[in-house]
Amino acid sequence: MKIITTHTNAGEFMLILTIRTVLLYAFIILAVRIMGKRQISDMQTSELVITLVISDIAAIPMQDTEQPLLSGLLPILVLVSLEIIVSVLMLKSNRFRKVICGNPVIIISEGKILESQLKKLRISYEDLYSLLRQQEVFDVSTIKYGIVETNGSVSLLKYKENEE
Amino acid sequence: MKRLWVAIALLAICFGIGIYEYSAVSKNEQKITQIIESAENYISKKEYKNAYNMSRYALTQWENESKNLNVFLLHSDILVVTENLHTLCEYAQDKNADEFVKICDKTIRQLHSLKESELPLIENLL
Repeated sequence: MKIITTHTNAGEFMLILTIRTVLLYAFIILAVRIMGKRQISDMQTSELVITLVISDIAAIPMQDTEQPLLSGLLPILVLVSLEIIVSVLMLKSNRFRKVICGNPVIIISEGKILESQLKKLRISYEDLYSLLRQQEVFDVSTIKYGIVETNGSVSLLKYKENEE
Repeated sequence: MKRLWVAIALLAICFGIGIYEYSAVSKNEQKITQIIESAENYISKKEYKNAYNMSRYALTQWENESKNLNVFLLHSDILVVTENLHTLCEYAQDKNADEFVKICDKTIRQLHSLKESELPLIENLL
């Protein structure tokens, strides 16, 4: 009886792994280029999740040669396409953008922390102070407005010197 | 806007590949099942030579198509069917009718489950 194996020897297996990795690398670069240029810190939460999911999906057929390469490429293509479609729709419709990204939330107003908003966002005082310190703010009363953006970053509007 | 059309085209390609895959699996399942069934008929009439030829034909057809199917399906799933078809040829050569019929049924079930797993049914989707 003819012995059937997927890979006849270890060398061939490694060669296949290498070629698959090169192909996936090229494909991921292409996918990221199609998705557009954005730094991780500028990404919306959904975009960040999609990016993480894509890297996860790509890893499976890269390591497991039993899986057809298409089983990794196809979901990545679908995710990239959906991501582009959603981002275009967000540009076209504000309402759609609000559904996907939510609204910016004011957490500091006239130098006072809005506790109710913090609770809604599940941000603790410690987290807020840490975020403020990262922006070199050590006194909340110097802030006119503090806004949590839809991507999770905090924008601060400080009082002008004569305004305080 | 150009990017949107690229995205829609990519989605269409993905669906196209999915549909092509299903039709390829379905077509091969039907073809190989028919050949195996006719081999089973020959073995029931004790025509071992014809049963062997049909098994061999099924194996050749499957091996030719498996190059294409390996692009879409788990390689191990395809390998199992290939191994069964090899075994089928051996049993036909050895004139072991009982085992031949058993392997025929097993292979047909495997082919059927391969096809079923490609259907966009709720159980497969979930």
